[in-house]
Amino acid sequence: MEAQLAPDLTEDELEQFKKDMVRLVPALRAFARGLCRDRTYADDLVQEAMMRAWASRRTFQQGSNFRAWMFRILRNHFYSNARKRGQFAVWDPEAAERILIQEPTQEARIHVEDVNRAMLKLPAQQREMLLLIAGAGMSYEDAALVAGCNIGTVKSRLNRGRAAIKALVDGSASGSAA
Amino acid sequence: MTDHKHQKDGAKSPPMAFDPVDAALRQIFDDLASEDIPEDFADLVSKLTMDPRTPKADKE
Repeated sequence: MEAQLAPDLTEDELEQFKKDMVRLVPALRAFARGLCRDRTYADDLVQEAMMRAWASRRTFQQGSNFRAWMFRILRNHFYSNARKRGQFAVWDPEAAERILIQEPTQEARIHVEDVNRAMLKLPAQQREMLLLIAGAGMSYEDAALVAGCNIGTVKSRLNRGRAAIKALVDGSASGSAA
Repeated sequence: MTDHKHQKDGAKSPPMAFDPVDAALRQIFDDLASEDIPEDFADLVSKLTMDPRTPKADKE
């Protein structure tokens, strides 16, 4: 059964929609970069997400969470592309450890760059939760909307991601101290 | 074009105890979000709003 589209937005609503979308561009770019780690590709993802959001503007429920909606479009587009490209590799924590040992940090404390490097080693689902909640400051509820999962899953992925980052950073620090 | 408001009103916040990993992640995110926006974003917005046709509607 085909979903019935609402009539197109009024001029004022279109203007507001555009403003809201533009206001989110910096956060969307940061999220996209965190997901794909490539500036050019991240910008492509954001622009495609904006085009899709614009095309789907009549399906957006006025008054609902525009930010989560936009992040969700971007996130789904990223995963859809990644699946098409066969980019998901099986995460190997031992390999991640070896990589970190090969790239020791210079300081035995948590450093932004250590965390940034450790993020690379995380499975995508944990990384996106860290980006959404710790990075973008989203609530668990909003992150669940973006990722299309329940709040328990959000918390579980977030906690595992935090623990993995700490373990990787600690390993890196002790590697450099040795 | 900045969006520094991290938490929407009314949304339930995660626990706010200081965590150095979270602080680093926030800094990474904020650094990325504060980068200059390429001009083609403005071009895209102009193009979208000038062209009433929808290129490809997805179910979101």
